[in-house]
Amino acid sequence: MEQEESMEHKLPGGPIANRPLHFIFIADCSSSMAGRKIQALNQAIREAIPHMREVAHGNPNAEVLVRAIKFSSGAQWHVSQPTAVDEFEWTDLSANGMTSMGRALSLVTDDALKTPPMPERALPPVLVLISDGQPTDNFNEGLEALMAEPWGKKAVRLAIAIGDADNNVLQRFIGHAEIQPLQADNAEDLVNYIRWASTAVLQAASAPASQTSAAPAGVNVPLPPPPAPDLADANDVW
Amino acid sequence: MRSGKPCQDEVRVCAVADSVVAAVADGHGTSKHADVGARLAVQVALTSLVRFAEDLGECASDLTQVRKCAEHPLRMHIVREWKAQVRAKAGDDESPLSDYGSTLIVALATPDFLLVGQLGDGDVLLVAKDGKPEVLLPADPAVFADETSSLCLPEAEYSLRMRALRAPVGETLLVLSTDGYSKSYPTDAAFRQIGPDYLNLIRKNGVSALNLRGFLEQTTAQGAGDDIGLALIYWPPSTSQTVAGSSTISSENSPQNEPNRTSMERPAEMESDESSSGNLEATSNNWIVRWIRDALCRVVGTVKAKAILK
Repeated sequence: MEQEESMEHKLPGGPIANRPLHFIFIADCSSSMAGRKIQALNQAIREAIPHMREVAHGNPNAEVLVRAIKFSSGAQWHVSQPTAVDEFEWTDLSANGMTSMGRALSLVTDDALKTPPMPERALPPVLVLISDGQPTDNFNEGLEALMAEPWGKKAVRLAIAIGDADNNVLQRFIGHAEIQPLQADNAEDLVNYIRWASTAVLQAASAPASQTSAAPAGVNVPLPPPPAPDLADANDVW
Repeated sequence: MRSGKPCQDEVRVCAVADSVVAAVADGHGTSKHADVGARLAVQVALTSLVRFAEDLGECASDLTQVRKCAEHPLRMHIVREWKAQVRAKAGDDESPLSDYGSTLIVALATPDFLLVGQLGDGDVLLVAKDGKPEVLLPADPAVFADETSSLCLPEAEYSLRMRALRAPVGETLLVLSTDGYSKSYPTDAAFRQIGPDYLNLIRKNGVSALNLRGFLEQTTAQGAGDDIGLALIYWPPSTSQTVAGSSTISSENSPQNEPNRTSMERPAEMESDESSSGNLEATSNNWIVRWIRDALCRVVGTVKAKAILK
């Protein structure tokens, strides 16, 4: 009898769930990042977290899950488990070694972007690649692996160049002519860009519009304009 | 309501002679006139299906023939007619077809066969008495995440997957829904459970007690936040049973009857607004629970829910 009564109030179907939105930082921790750059990166991500939480709370139909990869001589997960943004805490990165950017792309592809584990019903993942240099490994192999996965192609791929990064490589990662790498010449820029990616882009990715399968790749989530560079600190370069 | 846009899902059903037709469409969020595209898709589909049923005549009992005609010319006609109507609607503004992009799911239930068709994402489930939901159409490889095949694409007619099967015997429920419904569940299995659950609710309380709008609004609010369009067609276990919204239909105690193929006694409001293929515009967009007395099957209802963003 109790079971019958509860059925009347229960929604048809199994348990309902909002759609997962995976947000993944891919951070360069090579030697050239040592000092102010890595400190600024740690600080920028730490400052962005409360703003990410606000955005996530404003989008109850998306379950924002955050992870991070670090790459130097090789690549590994810095935060390996998809973590609810409310529980996400940032542990500082340190810098040392080479720039295995290709390996980082392979890692994110293999561990996060295959279906499964990422379901088809997920929202487009957001990948934020942050680097100050040139890949020292086989970048092409990593990029090819990424773009061979449907979720790799569908991901919102953003890149932040710290100082003299290889913009050509970052542009190829983005894969769309209309979206340029963001040039962070100082700590303030880096904070602004990471906050933009973590909030405005996160907001846009939380509610993507359906579209035809013939739409050009990379424009599945129309992005808001990024913040302008902080000219006041133009002399305060890395 | 997400982005302040109108609901871009469209759902209609109608009964003509001894058949029931249903169509569900989901206009693409990236299309400027998605709501218009979806509305035209449903209108064109209903008109085409009604004419298809009429034209089949005695061939309706030949499933091979039905399948042939559904492949060609029906699916060609639906897509080309939609494109023609969109172009006519666009008039001089030269809007590209993609401004009106939409998916489409259709069903035609006759005493002889059930025909379903799907272009793009969404779901078609058939639930028989045993409660097992069956996915009637194969997956479309072009459908992934929020990307879908569309009426607006070149050669879209070949993306309209059709399937004809013998008319269900015994208690059966057909579920047509747009993708906002399935995306509100974490797994396919959790979503497909809606089939047996709706069937149980109908058995227990009758169709008139179904709070479809409430279900869908709650589902989208807690789930994907997308518009949802839903149409249900129900074949009762025995068509001679009293048609009463509050009655419980017990399949366990009902004989396994063939569907009643006698002419139906239609409610007055249906005679006036849905009796001909030329007047389908009059079918309601709103939530409806209507009975087709003594008919082959019953239109349980259609409902669409706007996405609500808190």
